[in-house]
Amino acid sequence: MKYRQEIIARIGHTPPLPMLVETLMAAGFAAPKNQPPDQTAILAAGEADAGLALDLLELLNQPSLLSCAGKSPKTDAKPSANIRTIPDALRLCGAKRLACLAVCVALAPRLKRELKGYGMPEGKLLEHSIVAGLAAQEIARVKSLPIPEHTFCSGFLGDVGKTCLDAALESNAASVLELADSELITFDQAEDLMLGINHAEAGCLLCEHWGLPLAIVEVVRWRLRPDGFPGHDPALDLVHMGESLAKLTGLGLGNDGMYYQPSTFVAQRLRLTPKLVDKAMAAAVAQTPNLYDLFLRFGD
Amino acid sequence: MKPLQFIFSLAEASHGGLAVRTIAHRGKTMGLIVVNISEMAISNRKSDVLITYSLGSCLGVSVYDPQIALGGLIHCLLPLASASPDKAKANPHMFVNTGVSDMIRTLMRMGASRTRLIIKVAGGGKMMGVNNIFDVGARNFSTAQKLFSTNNLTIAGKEVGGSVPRTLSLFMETGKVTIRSLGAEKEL
Repeated sequence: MKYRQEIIARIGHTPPLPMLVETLMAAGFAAPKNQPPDQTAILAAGEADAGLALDLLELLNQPSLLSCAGKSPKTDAKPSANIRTIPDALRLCGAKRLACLAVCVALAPRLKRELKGYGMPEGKLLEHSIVAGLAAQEIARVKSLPIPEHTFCSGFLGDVGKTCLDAALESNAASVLELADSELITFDQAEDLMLGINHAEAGCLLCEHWGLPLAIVEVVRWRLRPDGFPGHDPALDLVHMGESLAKLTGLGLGNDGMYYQPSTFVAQRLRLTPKLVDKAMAAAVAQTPNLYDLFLRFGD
Repeated sequence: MKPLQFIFSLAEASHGGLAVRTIAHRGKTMGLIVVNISEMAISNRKSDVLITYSLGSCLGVSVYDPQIALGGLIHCLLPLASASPDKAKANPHMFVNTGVSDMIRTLMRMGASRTRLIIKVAGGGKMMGVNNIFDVGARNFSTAQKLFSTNNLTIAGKEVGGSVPRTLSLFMETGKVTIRSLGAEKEL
């Protein structure tokens, strides 16, 4: 259990998110309904962090992410709008969606790092995060389901906890994997046994530390074990399945490989078929390279 | 035969070139050709190594004609092009049925003989306790088996299933195929 205390202590010392992200989150998630966002505060935060604002605008002009906002139903569509300013973005996408994408842009550099403990070279976790977020959206698309605004962001942040466990895992990776393999348990269950914490819980604590909305925190916490979630959250179902499909693609897989278990209950709830699974995987993988190239540049 | 090497993929069209870098392997200089997901590469340069990383449920297939040292490597995501006809039209190498067929046809057009082809397969992994919906890996391998069987081709070596990611390499000089997984490497 010594790792658990160390990891939780380290999470408590993680730097906060940039002011622009916090301001957008306050506007999108904390403000009372029907209250218009505080444009002055958002503009000031955007000016104070112009680099992040520019990266965010670049991302918003990507067709796949615009389409998930419901602006265009086709994943192959060309950008339907040219969003040049943060107020434009706010008007077109809404504060919630803008806040979620700002979180992704701000955290891309963290997800880009090499994770030695998980055997992931630089960029691999970022690649996996992107395909997981996209796959979550694509499952909704192939099922013609509404896509909650925080779906991509929650899928993208799903493995953020790996950045907290990596140092502890460096000297324990082989034992954790051996335990998962010999006991036929999932990798996160083996993490619990060996380190006293798993990367989903660590990710949840990190998201709480950053003050991310409960909707995202809960998906990050439960996405590997959705059957344990008390209640029903459509975004959790989508992200759980998106994460499973992302693992199957092999994109950004680490030493933990596919030592995870997709939920039969969620698959039944979503009424997925092999054909729909294949269609969602194909669509997510086809969109990944362009977004990956873009995210790799963020924060440079 | 004139030395050649190329990768067929969407990436080639969009990024305009081969993902080739030079590496030193046991004192020799080699060209490492990285085959990404939904890509296929062909080479007859003895100094080349065709390599594909992170095979999860995807299927990696290597095909080699030892007499003329011509070979190819493909990394297919899904079994059947019918799952997404528009994606298959844009990139047949995403799918086992269209991608592997295209690779073998291409090799034969370039002088390979059907009777000499050495076919090796890796990947087709799965998540733990999966039901049929998610066993994409088994469907990928089964599609390849049917394809080879229909065409009277045999699989000379395979390592499929399980939950570990794999890296598959084809050494053009010898036709040697290796699998690397969790830091350990072995010949297939």
